[in-house]
Amino acid sequence: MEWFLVLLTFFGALLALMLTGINVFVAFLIINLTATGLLIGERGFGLFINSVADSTSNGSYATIPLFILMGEILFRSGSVDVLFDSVDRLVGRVRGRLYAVVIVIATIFGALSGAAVAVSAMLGRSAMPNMAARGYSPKMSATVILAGASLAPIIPPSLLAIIIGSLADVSISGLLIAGIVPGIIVSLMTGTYVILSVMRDPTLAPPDTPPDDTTSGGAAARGSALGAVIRMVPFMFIIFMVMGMIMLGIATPGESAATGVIGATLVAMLYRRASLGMLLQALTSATRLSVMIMVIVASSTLFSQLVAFTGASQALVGWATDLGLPPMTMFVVLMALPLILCMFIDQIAFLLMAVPLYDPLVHALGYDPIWFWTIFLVNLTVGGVTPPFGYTLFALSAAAPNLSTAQVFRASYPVVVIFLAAMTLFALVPPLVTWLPGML
Amino acid sequence: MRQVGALADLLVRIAFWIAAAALVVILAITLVEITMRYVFGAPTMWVSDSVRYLLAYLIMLGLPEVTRSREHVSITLVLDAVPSGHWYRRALLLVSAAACAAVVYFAIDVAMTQVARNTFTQGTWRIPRVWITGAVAAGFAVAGLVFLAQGLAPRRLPQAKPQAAPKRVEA
Repeated sequence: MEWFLVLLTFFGALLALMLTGINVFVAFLIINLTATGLLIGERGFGLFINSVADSTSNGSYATIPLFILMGEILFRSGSVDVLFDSVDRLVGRVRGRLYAVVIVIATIFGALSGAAVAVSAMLGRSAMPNMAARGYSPKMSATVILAGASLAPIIPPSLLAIIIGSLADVSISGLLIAGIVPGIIVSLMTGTYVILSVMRDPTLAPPDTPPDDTTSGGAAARGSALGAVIRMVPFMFIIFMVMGMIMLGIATPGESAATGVIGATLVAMLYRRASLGMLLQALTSATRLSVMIMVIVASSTLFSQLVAFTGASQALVGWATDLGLPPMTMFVVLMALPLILCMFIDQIAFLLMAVPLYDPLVHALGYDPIWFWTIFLVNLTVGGVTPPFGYTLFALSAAAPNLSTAQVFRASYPVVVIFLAAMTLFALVPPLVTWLPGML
Repeated sequence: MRQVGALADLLVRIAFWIAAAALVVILAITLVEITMRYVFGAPTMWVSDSVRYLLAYLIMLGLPEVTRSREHVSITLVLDAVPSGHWYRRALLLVSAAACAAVVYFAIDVAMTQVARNTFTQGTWRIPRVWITGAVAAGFAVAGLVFLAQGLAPRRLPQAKPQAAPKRVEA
């Protein structure tokens, strides 16, 4: 069978199974078991079981539940309210202040949680009603929340970066750190978009917005700017515990995740928001989410080996390199696929299908792996905010009942444009991505 | 029959709490490793391997509960149009049960070979490989039974969570 027919069969069957609504991990199980039986025979089933056992006991994946636990503790403790108040105080009384607050908060939350859906739902519940009540444009508010939430998978700790690093055998520390500058740039681009939009149409933000009462009860309770900075110090401490430890080479990603959990617990205790019940809820929720992710990873691991076994991966690499397309044209082609497919299928599921195919191409075409996979990561997040099936959109739609799904969809268009512009920038100026990890 | 169901439910919950405990132990021993390395200058030989093994137990013992509460990731474009309890949903659950059963069958086969050959894991702190393979078999076995129960008696089991729930998988 021709290599492209092999690939078409593998990926077509997998996609078709997923679209039936069967659990993603079961779809991978069925494809892997069937392909093993057809390609290798009875002896291959041992390989399959060993691949499941090996991937469940892969030490680099231990980072995932720890980072999830850290985010859960911060969200469930309500410590983020303190951060919201402090940023609100620091941004000051400027037109459209809450837009800026949400962008900054989402950037920090993204760094602390790593989950776009969680950030989107949380901001949809906390910031959205407040902004609507104060006369902020619901559409612009939704745009800002979606853009901010989409930073979560880019800014470390990113769970997707850990999975990519493990699958593509790229430095996980490097991939995590590589997301910092792009995350900040996207954040600034969103801020610029908001400023320009408000300048063009002042009705998007109420004039001279009174001080925010979101959680602390008014101007008097907001305190001084210095107080706001002091209240933010514990969060900066957590960010240092996670990113600083990796950048300084003191801890591995897994160890930095563990120190991040302790940091998050200490912050919750400091703000008197820690309780045994909250910690237990965070623990069980983190366990569930980790299992949901890891069982897909474990079930899918053999998939790439089977595709390679057929020789189709190698043939694809040969075909792609023989095309003789300029590297940047090839890059655009490679990025178009995830952009389209991630509108329809889960990001992790797509990741597990695509990385085995893309990895040999990245090497054959001579791309810097950190650069390529970081932009790939940004690309995946665009799928989460692209109608009609982006998970982040549904999270915001569910969390903000004052917004219709159609409004959320319309709000997502500027976000998609901003992210695509950012991807183009990172593609044309690789040091924006590679400079910081190069310092490791 | 109801007592059997209650017992199965209890087993799923106990397995889940062991999975959650594994996460706590992973956290604790990782902190021990950091402390031993930077405070006492004596890095351990056993932590990284222990973390790997605990992760396997976390995933496999947590699998039945995630299956029971129907929290697995799926693409629900088609399912959203199908009412709860519809034969299509039940068919998918039974297919899932069959897939899990196949995994269990092959895992037991591999486990028996590992016992016969006395195979150990790689690493500085080695354990019999059957401990990991056994966890795989156990996790998929209970998850398969849960799928089977959901497929045969869907009304007695919890409804699927909404797609937009904040705990949805995405990173």
